[in-house]
Amino acid sequence: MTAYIARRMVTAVFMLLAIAFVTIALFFGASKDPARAMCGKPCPAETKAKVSAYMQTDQSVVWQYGQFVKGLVAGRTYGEGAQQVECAAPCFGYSFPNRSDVTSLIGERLPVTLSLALGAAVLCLVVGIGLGALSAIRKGGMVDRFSTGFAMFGLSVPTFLVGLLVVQVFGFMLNVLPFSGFVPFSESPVDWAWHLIGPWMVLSFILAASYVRVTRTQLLNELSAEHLVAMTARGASPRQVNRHAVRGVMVPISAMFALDVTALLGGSVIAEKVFSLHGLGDLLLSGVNESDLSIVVGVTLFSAFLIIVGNLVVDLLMPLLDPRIRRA
Amino acid sequence: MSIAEIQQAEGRRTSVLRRFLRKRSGVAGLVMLVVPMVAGLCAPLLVRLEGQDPHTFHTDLLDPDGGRPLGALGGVSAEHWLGVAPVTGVDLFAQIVYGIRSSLFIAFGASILSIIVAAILGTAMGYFGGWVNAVAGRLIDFMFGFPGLMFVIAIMAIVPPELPRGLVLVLVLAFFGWTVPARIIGAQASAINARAFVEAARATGAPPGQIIRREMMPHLFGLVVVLFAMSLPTNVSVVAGLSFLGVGLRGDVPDLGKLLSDSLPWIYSGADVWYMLFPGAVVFLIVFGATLAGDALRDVLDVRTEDAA
Repeated sequence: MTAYIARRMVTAVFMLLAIAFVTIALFFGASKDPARAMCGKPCPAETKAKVSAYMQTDQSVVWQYGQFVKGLVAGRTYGEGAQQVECAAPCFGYSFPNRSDVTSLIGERLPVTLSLALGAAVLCLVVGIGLGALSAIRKGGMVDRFSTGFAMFGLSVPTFLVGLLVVQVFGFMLNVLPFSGFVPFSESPVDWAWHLIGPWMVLSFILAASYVRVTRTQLLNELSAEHLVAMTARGASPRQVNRHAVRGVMVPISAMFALDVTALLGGSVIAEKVFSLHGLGDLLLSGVNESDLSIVVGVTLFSAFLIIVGNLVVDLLMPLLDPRIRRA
Repeated sequence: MSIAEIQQAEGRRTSVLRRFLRKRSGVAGLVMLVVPMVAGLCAPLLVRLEGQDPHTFHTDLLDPDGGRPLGALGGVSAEHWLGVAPVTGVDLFAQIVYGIRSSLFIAFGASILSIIVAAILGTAMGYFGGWVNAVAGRLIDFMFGFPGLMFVIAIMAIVPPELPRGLVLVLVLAFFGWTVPARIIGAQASAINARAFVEAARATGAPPGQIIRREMMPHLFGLVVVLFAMSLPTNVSVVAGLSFLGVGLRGDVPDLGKLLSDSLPWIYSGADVWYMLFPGAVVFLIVFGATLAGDALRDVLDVRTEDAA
């Protein structure tokens, strides 16, 4: 078991290093010069070279990669003397147009993304598993037909369409929900939730669809499995049988859930745009629109980091939930 | 191929079509997909029939105060079938049919490209197994580490402006689209590779090319078609989503996602809902239709796609 954990962790670290390398090589090796945007207009070659040296974008990609990794672990310093800026560890780069390190920019946006992700995840889990279980228990019934259609919708309709409809219906036509803005939880938990109901509905609708499907198929599989048929035959109550069936359903659901939460934490760009929330996705978009490559690379790698950690968590949790994996 | 085999193969093909046509949801989906597709293909014709073009401003049809279209349903009339856009007054029908064109063109391109790559790689993974399978499997694991949509958006920041953005979108989407299909095809191909008839072909001394072409590919064909059908709606919504975020197509190319993105302030204020509803309905038709059709096709061809992914 220890060897398994150690192997997974080493793989995860290597994955991260490799993804960071590809990302940095792609973005800082690209023809677009990050110094160009910073040096203003007109931009004499001499000034540009200075800016470039200050931003450390004149160095080779491999060197920049080394610096990035070093920055993550030990922090990084740009320039010297009066112009010197420190970027404390974990340093995801420094945004010169914003005069701020990317880590604190991410930190500013994280509460929004976190609120969005956690609420949507909880809602989607409740709705998805609930509908899935109900439709498996009464297969072919009203709930089943409704939730199959629901799942079909959620799996295919683009997020932005659902978002626009929610804004239109609840925000404008019924005028019951605010459709933009964010209130920090610490200020007023009620207002916080009130402002987030719209985006939560949208994201959980999209996500819940696959939970409905997986719960339904898994539960049907479990309930018709031989050991549960045998249990029923021996006179076990439906409650006891269901309790055993649930365990088999929980394994794939928890794996899916962990991955979805990390993906949501990495930014839900479209929902943020529809509801004008300034989360991580919005930060990435602003980086793209202002050609601020430090932000682009920093946010992308932060998301990648979350995804890999999420995968690692799943890999480590699965053997605990499922003895069959433990033995393999 | 013997005559009996050809007849049998053709017999199967007609029965697949017939079985598909018996599925109501599949047929409904196909219609939902094909109608906008044909409209997109015939865009110049339809727009000429309407007597408009996608770029002429019709400011006379707008409320001078605020710029919203005059008249019901966002200015729907005999001249402007789906009304006009706010602020500029360009014809919405023309914008939408031309928009379908660019969106579908990119989505089809990306799906075709990614499925071709997936089919070649997956077949190779299945046939050769061993280190080919291991290396490709690792590569796919590695690709899964990238934060999909975030990375695609990020890449759009460094695309040189002189490159055609449509082509870039096709390549970028294909680059991230091949992984899951390749894994599914790979699993299927290696299962086929282990079956007796492949073993028999190998025993008769058939060269690898022939085994792949004659023995394995016919069994993978259905799966490949289904994977293509399933990737299409995803790509349509991603293309529209990217334009919606302002990182898709640029310039004055009509585009469904761009229309939806432009409609955002008009639904916040409730001033012109139709500006969102018309293009939104078209995106919905295409995506939902393609999903329904893909699902029906999967049932008809009896392909399982859930495993391995």
